[in-house]
Amino acid sequence: MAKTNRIAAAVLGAALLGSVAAPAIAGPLSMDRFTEVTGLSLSDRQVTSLWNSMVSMGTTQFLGGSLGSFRLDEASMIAGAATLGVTEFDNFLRTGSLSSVVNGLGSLLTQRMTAAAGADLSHLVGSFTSGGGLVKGASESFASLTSVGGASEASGSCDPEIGDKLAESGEAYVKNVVETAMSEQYGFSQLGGLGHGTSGGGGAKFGFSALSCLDKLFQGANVDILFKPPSLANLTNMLQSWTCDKAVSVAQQIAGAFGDGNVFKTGNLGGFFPQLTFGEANTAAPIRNLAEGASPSQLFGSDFASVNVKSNGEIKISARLGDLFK
Amino acid sequence: MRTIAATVAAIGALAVALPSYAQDATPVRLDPSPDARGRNVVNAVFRDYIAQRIGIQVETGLVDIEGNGTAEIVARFVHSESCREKASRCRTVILRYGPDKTWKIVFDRPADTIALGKNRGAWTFSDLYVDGVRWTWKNVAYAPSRGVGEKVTFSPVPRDTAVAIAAAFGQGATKLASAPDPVISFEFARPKVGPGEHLLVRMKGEVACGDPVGCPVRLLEKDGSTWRPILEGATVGDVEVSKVSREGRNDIVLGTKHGYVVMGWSGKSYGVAEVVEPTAIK
Repeated sequence: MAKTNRIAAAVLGAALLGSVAAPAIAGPLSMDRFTEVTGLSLSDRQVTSLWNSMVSMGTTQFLGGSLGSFRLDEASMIAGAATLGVTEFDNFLRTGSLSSVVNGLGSLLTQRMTAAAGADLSHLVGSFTSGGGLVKGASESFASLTSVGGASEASGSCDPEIGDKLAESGEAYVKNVVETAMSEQYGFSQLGGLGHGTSGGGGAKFGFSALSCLDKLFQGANVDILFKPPSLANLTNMLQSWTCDKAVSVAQQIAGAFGDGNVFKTGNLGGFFPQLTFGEANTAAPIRNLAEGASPSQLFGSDFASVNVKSNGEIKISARLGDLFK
Repeated sequence: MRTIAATVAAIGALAVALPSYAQDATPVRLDPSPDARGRNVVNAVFRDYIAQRIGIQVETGLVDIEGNGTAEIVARFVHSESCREKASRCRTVILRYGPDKTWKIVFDRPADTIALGKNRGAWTFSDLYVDGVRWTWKNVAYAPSRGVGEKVTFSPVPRDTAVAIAAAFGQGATKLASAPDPVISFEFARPKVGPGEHLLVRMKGEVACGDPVGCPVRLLEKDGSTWRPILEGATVGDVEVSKVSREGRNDIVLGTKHGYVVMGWSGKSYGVAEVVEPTAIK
């Protein structure tokens, strides 16, 4: 566990090194860029409305907080809220659970959020927090809007030796995550602290300490040097749909499917499936078939039977409610 | 390879029961022979997929989905890793030779029965009927049509009840619903999905719904003096209650941007039973 935290801290530290605040272009130009890189066509009024709603809900307490090596800023939160709907995005940040099961939603969400990061929408939302991180999408998308030394330097163009070290620690990190997840003492939901207390920007961090599965989601989707194996993308795809405390079983599935950590050492071979070309043609693991023709409980056991219900989800009301709807 | 009109015309029909709305459709006949026409293309496109599954049986057939006298290839892969629920519901794909001179997968689903609807003229695409569901051509691939269940009709939730019902959608929703001028609202229905009382609630409002996930939905079940969420999800457009039931509760069909999700009862709550969406063209 301590080893996991050390590695995670090192990786996170390196990531945050590259996410130094940088001046960015504000105003309509930034909004145009936001639209271009996210594919979201939002009017100024919609952006303002989304932001005001997040302020009302308290979602903005997460502003400046970190998800793994990714740091939330206004633009990334707008992108997330526009993708999920503002209340579901709030739930997502608080619980790590996505209620929607749209194929590829986790990837789309992280792609949009990381691509949007760095856009200065302060003319619409009233503030600008430097966001992003060692994230391909974010840094590349807004490279033209940031100065040298900003997010553009974090686009992976680091010293090869450092890159190797990161990849090495990333593989170790993956191995440790799986080992820890398989232990009875610890689970993904207890691996808090990966992003805890490391971010600036004045945002509240406590919410993230319990959301380490979100760390995986973001790291897996974007920090390629850490999560080269496609199987880990599968893991994060699972995490998008299942509540954090269920992720242990997912990890067990994956570990069971792939055996020991040696399977991750495929970098020199081009990855697991170097000839991935035709849709599903080259994918293998049964885990991928999450929603095709079988119930989750059939695929993953009875532990997943209650996956779509939060443990504390009961509504504390209201015989009265039933009366009203009669 | 591509112009195989005569073969297409000669495709026979299997005696498979089809839903009434698909009576004009012709079941696709598949040939397990290694020498079947189109098999070499399937072997090339799915080389690795086939190689990774020892003992896999590949069945191929030709269809003319465009009505232009040229063939598309249907392939079914029969293997324990390719089939779902029963041995006959196996991964089935349709390959189309596109204008860019490459083979593209335009349909990719576990399927038991597959039939081709009548073509309505040259350069129009025939509908597919797959296990009773109609698939229509959308831009570059086949997409499933809705209508697999009974559409739910919603009514507005009274304003003074909205805060209570918002609790089912999380604390953020409760705060928004409590605002003097709320930006979200709710609508409800009382569908008959099984024993007990149920409320199906859908959130509305410009900020409530996401792209592409749609609008948040909850199904609540009365449990003594409380209402317990037994389904959490989101829908694009309508919600349907399927005639199919699992352990006494009917499936709920939620819309997605390009298809739908079937939510099935697992004993404690609803979970994803099946996602029916078009193939992502690569």
